[in-house]
Amino acid sequence: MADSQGHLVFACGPSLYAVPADTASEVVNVPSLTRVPGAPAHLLGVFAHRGEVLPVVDLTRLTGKPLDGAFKRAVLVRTPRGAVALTATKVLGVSMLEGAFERLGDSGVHQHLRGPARAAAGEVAVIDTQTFVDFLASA
Amino acid sequence: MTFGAEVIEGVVLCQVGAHRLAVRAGEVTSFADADGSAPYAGVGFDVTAVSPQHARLLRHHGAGLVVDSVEVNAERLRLMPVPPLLTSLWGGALAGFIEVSGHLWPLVSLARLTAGPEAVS
Repeated sequence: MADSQGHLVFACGPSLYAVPADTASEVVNVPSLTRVPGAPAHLLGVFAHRGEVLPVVDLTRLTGKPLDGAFKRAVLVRTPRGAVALTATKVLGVSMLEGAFERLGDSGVHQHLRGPARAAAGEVAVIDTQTFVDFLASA
Repeated sequence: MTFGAEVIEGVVLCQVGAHRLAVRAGEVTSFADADGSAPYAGVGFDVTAVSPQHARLLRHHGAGLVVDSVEVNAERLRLMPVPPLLTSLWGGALAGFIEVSGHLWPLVSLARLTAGPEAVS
């Protein structure tokens, strides 16, 4: 199946992820974070950006492949349920993806990842941003 | 300051280990030395009390919360809303965020936090 809308592709650790380009509002440099009490481990903290408080979510912790070391960048995704900054180790740009967009799992975060899709850089897990943010809100 | 943003005045800035926490000063009915009767705010950050002999108890009527140190701030501060993703954290006690001295502080509702045993966990 061919991609019809274009996706922003980025790396987080060894894995490639993509979000619909129209939900990715910007790529931001992540400053020092403020921890939030009661937050799960994948929620690294928050920072203020243009007068808004943004939560930073570590994709490597969510997918069970935690990386040591601080993330310098994040992809800011906006949905009707709110904005979230997703950790990124490299941002590869907008691509039209090829391949499948089926659920990559039946539980946890994998329910909200779709694929296997392909970008020029390799195999990509596509984040279903609408359901992913709902999942984060309930996790 | 953004037009229409809520402004608050009078907060208690608390250190909890290496972390920051703020509460509205009006919610604190008294300060006392920690006596073991109230939970330590560090549980919200997965840290244990470092120096209980220096810890302070923020009393809210019959309940309370223990922190490592406190400082009262009387400035007028813009209250930034809680992102939708975070509204249910810590028993829904997050009331917003404030920025003081270039740092962001989570503002928690002592009333909400001390309302039920499930809140501080």
